[in-house]
Amino acid sequence: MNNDLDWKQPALVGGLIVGIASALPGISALNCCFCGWALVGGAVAVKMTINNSNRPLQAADGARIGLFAGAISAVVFTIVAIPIILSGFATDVSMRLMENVAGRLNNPELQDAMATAIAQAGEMSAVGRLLSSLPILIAQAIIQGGFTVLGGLLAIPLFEKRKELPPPPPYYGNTGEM
Amino acid sequence: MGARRPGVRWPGCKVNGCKRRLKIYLLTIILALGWIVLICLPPWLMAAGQFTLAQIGYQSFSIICHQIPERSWEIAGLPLAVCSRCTAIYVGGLAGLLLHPLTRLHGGWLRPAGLSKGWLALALLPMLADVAFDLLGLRTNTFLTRTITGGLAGIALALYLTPTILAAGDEWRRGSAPYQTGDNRHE
Repeated sequence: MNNDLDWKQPALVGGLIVGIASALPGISALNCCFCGWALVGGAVAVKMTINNSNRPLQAADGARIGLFAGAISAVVFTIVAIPIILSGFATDVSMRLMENVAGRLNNPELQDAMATAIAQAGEMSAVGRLLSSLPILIAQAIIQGGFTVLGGLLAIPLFEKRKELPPPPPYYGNTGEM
Repeated sequence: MGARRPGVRWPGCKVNGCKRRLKIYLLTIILALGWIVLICLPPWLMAAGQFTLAQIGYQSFSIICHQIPERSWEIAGLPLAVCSRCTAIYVGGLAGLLLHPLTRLHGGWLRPAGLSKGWLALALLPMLADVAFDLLGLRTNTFLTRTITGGLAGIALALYLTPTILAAGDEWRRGSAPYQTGDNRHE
């Protein structure tokens, strides 16, 4: 990215929007719609950069700002999600999902094994829950980052109205200076 | 080592850097295909007895979808990692990517042009109406409406975004200076 763009503050704002909104139960429901918060965060970061920039942003700028916002959101999301995981709320939600899926298994052996795995997960300590959630947190941060990049890319054709100026024509005449 | 040639042209393409754009286009298709495979993986893993991996798969996708099993397509009797609407959006997105060349057959298909905002809004409208009517209790949506409206939205989004993705990848790999033709700009 060219250094003339003031992208740090917009990326921070976008990242905070995505990270906090995606980790909070209830508010995160917008993510059910095509990872809505990530798209919004990426688009907000790019829109803010467009407003602050004195040159038209290119598609790569949108992707990069979205990527930075996604990286910030991953950190924020992890920080906000850790207490929720430690409290056991996230485990309860995920266990309900897995129980629902397990109920659809037609194989009794697999159902028993699944029930045992769910019971073991339910009895985990807070640290155990956190450790077992680590790969999921990483995967979710990557997914979220990807959608934030998409949000940044989407914002370029949506919000950037300025066109790249053509290079100035060569000047062949005299400058008028004496 | 020879210097990189600026502005390699693909046969039939009138824009500089077409070969590079073609690579980015193919990479985007592979990524979209990989994404759909990832969505289909958890039920398959679960049926194979790989509970831990299946759980990681299901829970990773819980950030982007409500994952209500009754609203999901199934593999081996188990729901996919995302609902039918999300699945339709992603499959539609892949279809849109594959359809993109057809929109630019005349005059070089890697030229940056895509769906207009108006067409995008029009294509998203049925999906938004389907969601809104269901939420308001006016009309319960079905598998068919979710799939059709989601698929339409996915195709439109891909057709709208593909030129920007190609331009972004091109600019990223090329470095800083824009082409003098101005053809690398999104429209």
